[in-house]
Amino acid sequence: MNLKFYKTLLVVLVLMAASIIPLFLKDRYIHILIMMLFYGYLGVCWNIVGGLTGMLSLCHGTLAGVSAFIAVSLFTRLGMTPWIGMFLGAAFAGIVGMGIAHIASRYGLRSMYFALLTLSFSEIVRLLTLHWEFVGGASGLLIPISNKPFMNYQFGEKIHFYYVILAMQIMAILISYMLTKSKMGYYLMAIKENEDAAETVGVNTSKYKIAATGLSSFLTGFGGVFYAQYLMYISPDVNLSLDYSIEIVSGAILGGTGSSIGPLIGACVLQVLSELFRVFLGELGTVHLIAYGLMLMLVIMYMPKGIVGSLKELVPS
Amino acid sequence: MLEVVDVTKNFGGMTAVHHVSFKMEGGQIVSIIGPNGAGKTTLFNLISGYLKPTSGDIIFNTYKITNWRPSRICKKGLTRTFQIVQPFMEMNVLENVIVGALNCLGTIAEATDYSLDILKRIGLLERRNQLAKNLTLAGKKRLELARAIATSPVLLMLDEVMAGLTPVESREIIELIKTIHEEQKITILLIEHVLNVIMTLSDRVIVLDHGEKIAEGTPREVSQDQKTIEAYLGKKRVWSK
Repeated sequence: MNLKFYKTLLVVLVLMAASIIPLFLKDRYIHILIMMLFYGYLGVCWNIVGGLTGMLSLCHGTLAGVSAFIAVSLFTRLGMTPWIGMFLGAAFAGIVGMGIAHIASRYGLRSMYFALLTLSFSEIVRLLTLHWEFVGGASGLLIPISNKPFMNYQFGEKIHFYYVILAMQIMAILISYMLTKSKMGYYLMAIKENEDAAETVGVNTSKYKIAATGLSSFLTGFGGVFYAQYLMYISPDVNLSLDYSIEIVSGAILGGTGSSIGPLIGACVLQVLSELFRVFLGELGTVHLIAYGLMLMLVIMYMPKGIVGSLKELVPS
Repeated sequence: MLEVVDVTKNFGGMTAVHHVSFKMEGGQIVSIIGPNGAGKTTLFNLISGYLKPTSGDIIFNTYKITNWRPSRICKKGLTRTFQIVQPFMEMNVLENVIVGALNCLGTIAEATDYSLDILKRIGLLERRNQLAKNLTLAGKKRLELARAIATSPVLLMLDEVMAGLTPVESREIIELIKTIHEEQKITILLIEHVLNVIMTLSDRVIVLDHGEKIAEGTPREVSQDQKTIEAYLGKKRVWSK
């Protein structure tokens, strides 16, 4: 009872801090906060597939990118506002995700084979987009500045983007949390532990894997559109590169898969560290990437359950 | 209740189950016995939907379940346990059983109540917050039984529940199976190696050898059947002078 009170208090305080403090920060720091929340958001969405269901997806960056390409193309070519476009993009990402999960179930592709399937999907999409002029080809698309910015998901101030991604992040964590407490959540956990055993006790594993991937990809789609609107630019090298997917996955693993909040914490730590590495080691060229990789290796060796997982072991809930 | 009609399963050139047919009525305990490699587990996998038969049909309570997936078969009330226990290792005991209970119950609250009730009867209530991987083998077998019962089956198939247990543990499990059978009116089909278990427990016995059904009857009849004795002990040699 007492513990529950402190937990609620902590959540309220964090939420208040998150909504008030940025008002007094410089743009430079708000940018870091935005990147933390953005990768946190994608990590939480990825976690539905990668953490709860145990399917190592390496195409979530690409799914976000696909959604962004759809929303931005609709805006630049047809003038449709991204507020509507993002739903179409996300829906498309969701359908693609379900398609991938369906193929994986149909041909029995699990664990590493599923990862390879998603990896090759990413590369196919990237190569196709590079040569497709309608969506900008290799040079990508610049989003033209609109004279009705708010109507078209464009804000001059970084702080506005911050509040958008903060709201998205809260939504994502709520959805993920409610999922873990639901029948579907139990079923996904069972699938992660042992698919054959789950089938015998009445879990239609294909159906639930497809549903989980669909939901996760759908939510991921909104993240992709946000990133495009924030940068005002999309290109295959940024939005469809493998690094993007890897960054999502590493944040989630660092924070702790399987819990709703872990991926956000992982993403925050990762973004702060990468910023610090860039500041202090940036002059040395790519040394910061080496430090980054080294740190990930250490985490996987010594904290295989991630930050949240290790904390939970210290403090029994 | 369950009818296996002329089922054959080939793996490449090898025939694991060869034209096997049998029927079982509700309320019975039926055992399948046979030496190693007789095709017992393959037959189990065919009935529970993990394998599709090369030919033949499997009928369960008027449903032709031959090509159904295991989860759909389970929804109709037929579930199984595995020879090598497969609990959800990183979940706790209660959560394991809840997953089973959700087969027939819609909400987590209902499923939790029902699962606690089952754990009490199975004797795992004190261990409900332990991770499944930390249980002993006997504990894991009990847990797998609890999870299977939680799905509210009418027919429960047990694949060598006694394997790897000490005599005392086996006896406890036998008692448990008897109680489940009597209290919940669950029909049971089991595979077993330990023959004295079969003799005390089952109403009827089916003997498989090299994928074929060689005998069927009450435990007493089967134990005196010439073919069964040959399958287990080999042929009597008559030395010529």
